[in-house]
Amino acid sequence: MEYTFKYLFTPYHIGKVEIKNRMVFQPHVPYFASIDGYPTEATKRYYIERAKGGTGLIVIESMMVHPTGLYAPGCICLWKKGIVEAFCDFPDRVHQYGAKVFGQLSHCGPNTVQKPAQLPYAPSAIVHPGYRSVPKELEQEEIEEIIRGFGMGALRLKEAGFDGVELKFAHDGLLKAFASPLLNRRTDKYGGNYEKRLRFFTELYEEVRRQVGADFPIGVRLCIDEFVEGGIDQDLGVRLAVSLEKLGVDYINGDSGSSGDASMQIFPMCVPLGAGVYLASAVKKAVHIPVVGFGRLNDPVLMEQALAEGHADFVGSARQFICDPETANKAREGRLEDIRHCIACNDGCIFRCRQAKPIRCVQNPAAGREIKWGIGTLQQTKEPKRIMVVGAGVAGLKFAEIAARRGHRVEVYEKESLVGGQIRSAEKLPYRAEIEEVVRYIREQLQKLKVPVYTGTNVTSELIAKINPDAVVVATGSRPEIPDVLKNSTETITVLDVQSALRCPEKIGTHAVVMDKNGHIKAPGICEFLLVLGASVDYVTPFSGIGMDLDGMTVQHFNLRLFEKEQFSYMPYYDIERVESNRIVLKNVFSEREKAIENVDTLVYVGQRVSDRTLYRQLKQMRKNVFSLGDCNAPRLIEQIIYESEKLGREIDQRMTQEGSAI
Amino acid sequence: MKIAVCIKQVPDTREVRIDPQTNNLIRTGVQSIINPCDLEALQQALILKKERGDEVIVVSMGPNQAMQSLQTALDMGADWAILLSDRAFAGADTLATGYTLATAIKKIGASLVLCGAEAIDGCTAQVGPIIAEELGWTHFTNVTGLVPSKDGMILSRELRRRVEKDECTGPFVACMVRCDALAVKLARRVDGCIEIWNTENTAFDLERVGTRGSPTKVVKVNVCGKSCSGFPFADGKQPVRKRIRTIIHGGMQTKEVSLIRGSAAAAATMILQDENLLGRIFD
Repeated sequence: MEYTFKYLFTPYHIGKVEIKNRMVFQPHVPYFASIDGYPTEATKRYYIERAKGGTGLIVIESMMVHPTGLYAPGCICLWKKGIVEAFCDFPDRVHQYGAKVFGQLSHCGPNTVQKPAQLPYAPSAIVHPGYRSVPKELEQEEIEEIIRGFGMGALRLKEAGFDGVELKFAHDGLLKAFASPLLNRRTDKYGGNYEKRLRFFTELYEEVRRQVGADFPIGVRLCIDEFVEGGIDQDLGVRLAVSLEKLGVDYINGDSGSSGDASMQIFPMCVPLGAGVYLASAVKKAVHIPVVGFGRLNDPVLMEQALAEGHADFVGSARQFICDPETANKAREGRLEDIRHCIACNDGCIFRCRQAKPIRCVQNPAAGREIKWGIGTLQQTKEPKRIMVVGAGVAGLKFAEIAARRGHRVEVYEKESLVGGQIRSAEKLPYRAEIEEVVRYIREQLQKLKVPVYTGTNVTSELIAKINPDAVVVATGSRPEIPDVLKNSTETITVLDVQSALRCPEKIGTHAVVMDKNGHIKAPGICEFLLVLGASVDYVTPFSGIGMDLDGMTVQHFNLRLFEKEQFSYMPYYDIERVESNRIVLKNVFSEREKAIENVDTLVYVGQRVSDRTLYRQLKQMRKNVFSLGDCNAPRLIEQIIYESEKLGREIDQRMTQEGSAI
Repeated sequence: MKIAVCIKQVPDTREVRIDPQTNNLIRTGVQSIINPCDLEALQQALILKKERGDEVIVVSMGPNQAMQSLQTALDMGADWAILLSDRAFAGADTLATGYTLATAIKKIGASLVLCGAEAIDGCTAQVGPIIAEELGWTHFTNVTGLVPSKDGMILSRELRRRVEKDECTGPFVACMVRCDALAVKLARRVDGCIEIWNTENTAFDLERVGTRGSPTKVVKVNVCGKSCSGFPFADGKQPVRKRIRTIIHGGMQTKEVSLIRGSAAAAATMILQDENLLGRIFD
């Protein structure tokens, strides 16, 4: 696509440091550091990959400055001995690609990822909404020590060769807590009014500046609106930005939300693209230093728009660059259609991050695996083979892409008229349309790689015998299963699985029960779909909550939307015991007491899926080099399927020499 | 081939003023121009005319002042023009406008309709698709160019992240966001004239034009600041829940709607039985 970028690829200054373009890899903790707090080669390669992909500024981590403020083991701890040496040549390796690297300094304050917190510290002993741990009120000596920790951390980063530092005044860290009228109730010099609440940061900034000198950029990741009643709102956020500029801060990196539920901090898919830009814009109008725009900026064209309309000087994203480290280079080369856009599913990155586990990406299996699978690691095959892929769901398509890139002759067969498998129904759930991007990207790549995709073709063993490929990859997926006892016991209640409910909305009645045995997005998603259709919905699950296996942000937004509806009711810890005419009898999973829901006309059963292995078993008897892939092995989420498919695509040559052994 | 180009005369200002009583635009005292997107559509039609000799007919609905825009179109090289002007057309919403324009297009006998994607005053982007529905033709939105192919026409559509190429063989309506091809300058036809069509000389269904044919009722119009263009926006002074809800809805204030399902007869019965509902619908 022809698109001219007027702003995105023009250099811009932060203090005296020139950044080659306007794209910023936003700071976050990927949990690749060692358990004792040192950066590992995996940490470095993760960031270098984004620099290699053309991003202008890499802001790394949230690095800890003091033992009182540790998010969780797996964060880089700057007070550790030998930390400067541990970074070694890291900044130079980033510089090699023309990017600049800043390091973010943080003290978690009352917000720790460790649950329960060991001993959280805060300006006042107040529990933040969304947390349960009561923090210890910081004493004067502790405050001074933490301030010295920030200064020392900044100095060590400068010594290690970093180009700048960023102070985290967001995500309920200690800096934000001190500025918050909600969390800071001190009566000493650090609390009582706006100026006093800002004193902690003022002293801290002055110490950091004293350590790094006048020319070293110091930025602030600032929460502009935390979306918590009584907390930092837009007016206060902008006022803070103005005060920070006056102190001498070199740039403001925008941010919003609170770590309590993080629903407005790490926007999930239901939040529109560019949702934070207006907040950055409000700050931009009030200050003269550079401002970084944020909030689901997952596309260079959108980023350009934010710059062109004057909302920000830089545009930042963490998740987009996790999903496609080469976003910048592809945009500069005019290959916009090759960019893999982050869909903000949060399943791989932030879901794991908030459990202090190494992050992953649903669409990009190389994220966190850069050493093995990073840019330039795909090897061309020495012996191109003819490979037939059965099933054009995510698994079949992804495998085809990787195998074809490596030089194999791949052809894909799909029995439906459209490719995409379960994505075709998943995208029909309210607020989930973006999930189609998973298929859009791969489909576009297959077109470019000239991989033939035959839709509406039912593959039989006869057809395979006729084509006689070197290998067959069976990715026939899975199908929903509803227990016979539910299906056959009633004629008055329509029993549906999620896919048929989405495909046949006319079958939905006025009173539906949704049975969630899946724990992911399907059940809350279908509840919302049914509510939109005007049905009243009883959500029944043997688990304790909605979306047990979903990230907290997505769940929080679901809760906001579902519980808002009067026609929605929620019954945790119940399983379906039996169905009688138009009533559904439930049984509490603990007390085993029964309870009935009357006048039900629709039951959507969200159960486990069953792999479709018929063709695989059949072929396995007849041929060598038959592989099963994806849901055909076991039904899972997209992340696991994409990982498995990329792995098979990379390893198929070796696997084939083993002559069709089972996986 | 006859190409109908629909144009709208719009006030040339960013500061649109709205009558607080009627919620309609105040047009007096504001200089008028051809809606920019419509001009792009006209340009595309003229390119086709130059390439293969199509006949370009410009259609506009509006008061007599709209003649001015039609004159401009003729000066640019359109063959002839039609002004749909009648008291009965006044107060038309997009549905009535679409019907009125489609009726004229049928009478013209055009086999291709080009129009702007949306007007800078109304910004509904509905009229083009409604015309297509009325004609029973297919329609394309976000069009940036048309190139004749062996069997029909190849259209370029600019989607947010990619350009889509479509080939269409039958008659269609293209709603153009812009025209990527180089502009052409054609001479004005000596006999090019503007015809006025109204309810007397053309067969319009009077129930479907003007206010009578317009189910839309504009409840309230807020002028939003430039800061929110293209990006979601929430008023920082609103309560937290309201801010979150506004952002989720792309920066728009929303209201609850209730959906009535079932057959048309069942729905009608429910509406008639439920006075509250009736009140809400015809409020």
